[in-house]
Amino acid sequence: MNCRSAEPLLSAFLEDDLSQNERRSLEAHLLACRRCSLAARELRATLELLENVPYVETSPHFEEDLLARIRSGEALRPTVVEWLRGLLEPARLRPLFLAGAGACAVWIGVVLVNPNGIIRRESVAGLTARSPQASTQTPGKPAASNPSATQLNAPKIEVASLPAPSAGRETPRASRQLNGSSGSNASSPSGDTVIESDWPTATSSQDAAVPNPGSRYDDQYITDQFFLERDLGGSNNPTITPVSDRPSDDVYITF
Amino acid sequence: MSTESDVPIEPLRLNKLDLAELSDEDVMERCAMGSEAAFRALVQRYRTRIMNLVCRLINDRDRAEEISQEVFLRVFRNRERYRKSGKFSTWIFTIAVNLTKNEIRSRVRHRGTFSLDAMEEESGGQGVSFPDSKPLPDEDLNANEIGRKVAEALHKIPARYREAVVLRDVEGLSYEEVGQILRIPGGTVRSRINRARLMLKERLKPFLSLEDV
Repeated sequence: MNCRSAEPLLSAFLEDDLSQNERRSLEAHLLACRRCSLAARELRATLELLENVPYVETSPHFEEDLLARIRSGEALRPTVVEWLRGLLEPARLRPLFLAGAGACAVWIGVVLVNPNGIIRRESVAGLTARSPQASTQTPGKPAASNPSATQLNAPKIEVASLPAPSAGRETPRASRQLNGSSGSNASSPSGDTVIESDWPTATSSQDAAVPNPGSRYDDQYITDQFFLERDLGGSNNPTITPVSDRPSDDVYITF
Repeated sequence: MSTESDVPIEPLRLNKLDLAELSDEDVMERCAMGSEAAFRALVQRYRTRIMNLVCRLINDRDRAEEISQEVFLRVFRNRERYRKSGKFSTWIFTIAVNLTKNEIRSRVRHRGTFSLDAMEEESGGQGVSFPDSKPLPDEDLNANEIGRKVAEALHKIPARYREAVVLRDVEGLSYEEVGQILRIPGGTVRSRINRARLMLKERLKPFLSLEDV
């Protein structure tokens, strides 16, 4: 051990806070080194002085002043730091934390269910009504009527007879709603069934860039069998005309 | 005719007797329950130690008394926050040290210096001292000239060493308690205390009476 390594150990040596090996090494060094031995004695005397430093007493009226400040309430106002700390206490934060966690959970749920951020109209009107099992009917089997609330206010087109569908394409031949969102099927008076599964939905065919002022008479629900004639002024009396050259007396519109 | 139950009881006296036998933590628990006697008991137990600690750290008796009062006000204000699992002495000394640090910082700011380290550098490593025009009580006693020299030497060493050595060698706290109060690890505590002692030794050399080790 040398003087440089002995100096940091002097305090611990005087407080008997060294390991046995360290103590033996230091004692051996102190016996051999006059300078470190003197430093150790000086340090011990310093500690004795520090221990005997007289206490500084409070003034005689310290306690009375203190209690007077407490009783007056003037000195009990919390500091800004204490006030903030009180606000941030776990007991106060717990309800806020739970509410925030709940809101986050709802938001995450919405994002997971609907990652595009678009709430599809089918899901609002009832996605099951649009499913192939519910909406597609095979020819020969009469479709079961599945009315929904939107049907009640929707205008209906009843077609008594229509021209034969073109080859390779199955066209709807019976009644459907003009707003078309529910997509329910109905049998024609003649008992023919309706196939609607390949019909474009309101949202899938809609072009966002094209304004659509009168959704009630949205022409997307008019197939190539009909024309919807509506003046640009927004007339409430649109006319529906069959594409076919046949007379239009077999088309009925019910509002 | 009065029965034994009619004899008035002096609650304060009984409380004092009870409280004298209780630990600091138990007294503080009673204080948290609203006992003024318990609070007074704590003030009486700790006022001198707190005053001495603050005064040794800032060397300003009047300000030290104000800070000491503030320490006890903080204890009273936060009495319900105290957890019995911790030592009361550590808790109250932590409050005192923190308030004293705030005082030192505000003084440094008032002097237009931005950090204690900068101020220590300005003083050539001599530490930050705020000499008081009023003499400490030590100074009133001629026989206690050495005590005054110790106080002066303490104020010549940097604050971070001073607070460690005062808590350990003047207040007599353990290394662990010093570490908890100053929020520094045990190795740093020992290192600071050892360094502070060596600095004090150099300053107090003329006043030391040496004995054999």
